[in-house]
Amino acid sequence: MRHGDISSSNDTVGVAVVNYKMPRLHTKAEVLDNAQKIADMIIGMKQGLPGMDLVIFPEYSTHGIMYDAKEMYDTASTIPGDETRIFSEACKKAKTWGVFSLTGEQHEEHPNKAPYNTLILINDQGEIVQKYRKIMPWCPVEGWYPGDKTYVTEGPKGMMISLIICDDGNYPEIWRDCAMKGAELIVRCQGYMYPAKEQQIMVSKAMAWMNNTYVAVANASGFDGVYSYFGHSAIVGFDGHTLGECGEEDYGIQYAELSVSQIRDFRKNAQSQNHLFKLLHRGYTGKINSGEGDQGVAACPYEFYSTWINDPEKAKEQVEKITRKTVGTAECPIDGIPNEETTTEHR
Amino acid sequence: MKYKLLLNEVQRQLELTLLAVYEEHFRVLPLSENEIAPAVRAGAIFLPEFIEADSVQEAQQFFLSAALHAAAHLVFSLPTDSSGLNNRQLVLSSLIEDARIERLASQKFPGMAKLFKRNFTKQPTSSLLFEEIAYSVAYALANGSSKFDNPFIEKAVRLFNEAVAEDIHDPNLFKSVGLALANDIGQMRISMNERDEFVLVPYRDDNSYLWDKFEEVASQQDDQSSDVQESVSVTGMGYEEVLDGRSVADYDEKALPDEGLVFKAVEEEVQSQLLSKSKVLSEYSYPEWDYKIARWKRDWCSLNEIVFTERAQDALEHRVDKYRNFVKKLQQIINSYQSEMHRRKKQEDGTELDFESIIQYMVDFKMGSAGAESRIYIDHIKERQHELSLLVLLDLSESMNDPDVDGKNTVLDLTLDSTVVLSELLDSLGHSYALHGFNSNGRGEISYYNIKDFDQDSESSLQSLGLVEAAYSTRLGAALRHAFHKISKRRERHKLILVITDGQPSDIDVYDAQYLIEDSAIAVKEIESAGCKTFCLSLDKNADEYVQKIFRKGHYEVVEQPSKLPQVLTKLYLKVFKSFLA
Repeated sequence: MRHGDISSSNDTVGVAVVNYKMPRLHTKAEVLDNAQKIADMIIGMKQGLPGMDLVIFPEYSTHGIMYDAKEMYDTASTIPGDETRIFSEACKKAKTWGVFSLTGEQHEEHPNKAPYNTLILINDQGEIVQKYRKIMPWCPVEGWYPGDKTYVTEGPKGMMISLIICDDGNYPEIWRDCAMKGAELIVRCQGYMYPAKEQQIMVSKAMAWMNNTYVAVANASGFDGVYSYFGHSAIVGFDGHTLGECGEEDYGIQYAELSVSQIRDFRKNAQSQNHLFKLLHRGYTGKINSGEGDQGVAACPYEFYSTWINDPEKAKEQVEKITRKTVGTAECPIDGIPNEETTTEHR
Repeated sequence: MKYKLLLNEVQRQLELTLLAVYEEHFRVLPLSENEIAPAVRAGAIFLPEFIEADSVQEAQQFFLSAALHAAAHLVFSLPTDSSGLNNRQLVLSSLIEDARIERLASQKFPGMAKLFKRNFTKQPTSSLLFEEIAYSVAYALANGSSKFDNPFIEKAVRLFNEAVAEDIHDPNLFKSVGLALANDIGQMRISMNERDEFVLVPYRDDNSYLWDKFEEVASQQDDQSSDVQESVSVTGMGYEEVLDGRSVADYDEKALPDEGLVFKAVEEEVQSQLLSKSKVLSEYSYPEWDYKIARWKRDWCSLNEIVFTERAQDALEHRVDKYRNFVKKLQQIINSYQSEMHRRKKQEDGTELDFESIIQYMVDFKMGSAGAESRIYIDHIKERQHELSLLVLLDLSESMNDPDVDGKNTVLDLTLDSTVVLSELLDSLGHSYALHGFNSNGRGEISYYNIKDFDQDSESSLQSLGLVEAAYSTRLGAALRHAFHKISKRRERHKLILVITDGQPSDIDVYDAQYLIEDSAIAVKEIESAGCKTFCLSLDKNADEYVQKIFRKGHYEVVEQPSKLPQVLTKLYLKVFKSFLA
């Protein structure tokens, strides 16, 4: 993995991340104009970064945040649709893969059900090859319908890629799920705002290290009238070291070349910090010393996970004992979110 | 290159234009993605989300024409019974009605006729396909043509012009023109595919607004499914109402009325799990309006219509006993009211001369101050009392179990007492009325109690009142939609739904206090726009905040003293009934 050049090679995937200024849009026409602006940016970027194989834009970069519920439903996209056609055309023209945000994507039961917060991966032929719906919407603020699955797709030069979104990244489970399913690059698109800047920079680095995976983060910048976004789009190596990181500037771009062979070599030959291998071969040295074979222990020792899988309601009750029972809290009430003081009786 | 114009870009402008033209506020909303034809639903105008045209002007012309045409329906058209009409009759009657309302709208603004005309870009052909003939009729009426190659088109224009001359404001006259033309088409043995939907002129709405379906349609479908071939003799020439071996009067699911009011009968005679003394008659789905996203949530509410299978023997007596004196007084009021209302003086029309008015008119005439119109008749209005259908809708939610102000009875007790008194009044006046109640346990479990239906004998059916219990929540919008579904089947000219409630709409699965208020307000608008009036009596002294958002001004009353409910109810009723006769 290397950083500083504008090139790439047969072994390295050139990845660019963009600090896209958070747009504030209201209509479908404005969204399409903005999508075209993103498409134009890709063409320009490819001119400056000839090695670029993959370009990544932040969550909300296409639609902005529609703080008005009607606007949010009115502008919810279909996939494929008008927006993806613009992106596909740009990817074909620039001969690059791209990750784009669609906030939101119409639910199958639109408008009865809320839209999804979706990322798509488009290949250099303009084809949509991955569609990921955010599993952990940022409640209570985000009103997206939750997705339920991660995906791993063979990307440019054979690199295996998973997409995750913003608050998803605060839960170690999703990183592990993607990495264990074979992801070598986990793309985290976010529209993350202050105050949690340092925490988010730290989380992406820590997860790269803990899951032996490349991480590419694209975050929004600027102020949309409600929140201020801290940028810091970054590309992190599988050893947790940051290869390149933007500041807070609008339209800042970072670029690095990620070696396919290096990460595969690491996962094959690394020992003490090969977290993926060791999680399923737990304590193999001690087991050898105990005459119990050379494979270590594969079984999951974590009771929380076994309860969660086998009895999610029981796991939920357990967490409510150490937190609270209602989704909202009366000490900082939010309209439409019931708390312990909300009347739930029939009237 | 095609130009794409989004509805969003012109929505506000259209609403303001409609306000200027028709002096009424109309909402213009986007159709859902898979819909193309403009539509009028729930008092609002639905247009495509966008239009692609050769120029901006052309796209603007489409939106403007579509909005003006749809609004003209809301102003000039009255939904009417489509029972027994086949698709051909519906199409022709609809296009005649389209021409009538455009003619009416253009009377005030002649430029509108030119605007509508510009949408007929295709020249009519001499084809004998039904769609082409229908288009030719629409084209001829919009263009005011006077020369015709086709005698059928000539006849259509002539009949239309005759109806205009007779009374352009009478939609039934024009409906009969449409039916006569459909009859001619039948005699010409020109067929149409009954299942096909076709668009004559894209700016015109789908006309679903015009047609109510009555329950009899479904039973008619059953009759016709058994290969019944009806032979109708018209002017000596018989033709069969059958095409391709199938009845053309088949019930068309797609032609359901106003989408905001669509119901779906799911299951018949399902045994109730809720109460052993009742049973579920039918299950329905209703949409709900989400004001935050300004969209319908389709099939959102499941409603069970429940009838009581048992009777409480003393339900009537002990409640009437409590108000015996009041009921006696009420009888006296009704008697004097009836004699007063039987003979309405100073009318323009009537069957008896009003001599007092004649004398006054002659005095005015001699003095040179008599007007052009003479109101010199007495109108006997007894028959009109039978033109009223009333549905009383009782809130049967948990809060009805709260004690009243005196603490002696529950609010439910008072409500049921009042209902009995009201039924005395209605029986005395000879009205058709129904007593229904509702409560809800989330959107999936709305119970609608049919305590007394319109045609049921009040004495026996009212005994069900003794079995009524208050529980659960108050999903008013769905209950109102079902109440309208019930009353819309009535033939009486005037229809009225009277809601008696003690609290604001609420349910356990709704956390936004405004949501069900807004939905109820839309339900009321839907119902009123379909020609049925709604009134509310609220027993919640804090009701002013929300009840005025739901019901029209003057159509609700907040009862400060629940114990006075029977009296208030009677007064309100008399006031309401008078308003119908005014």
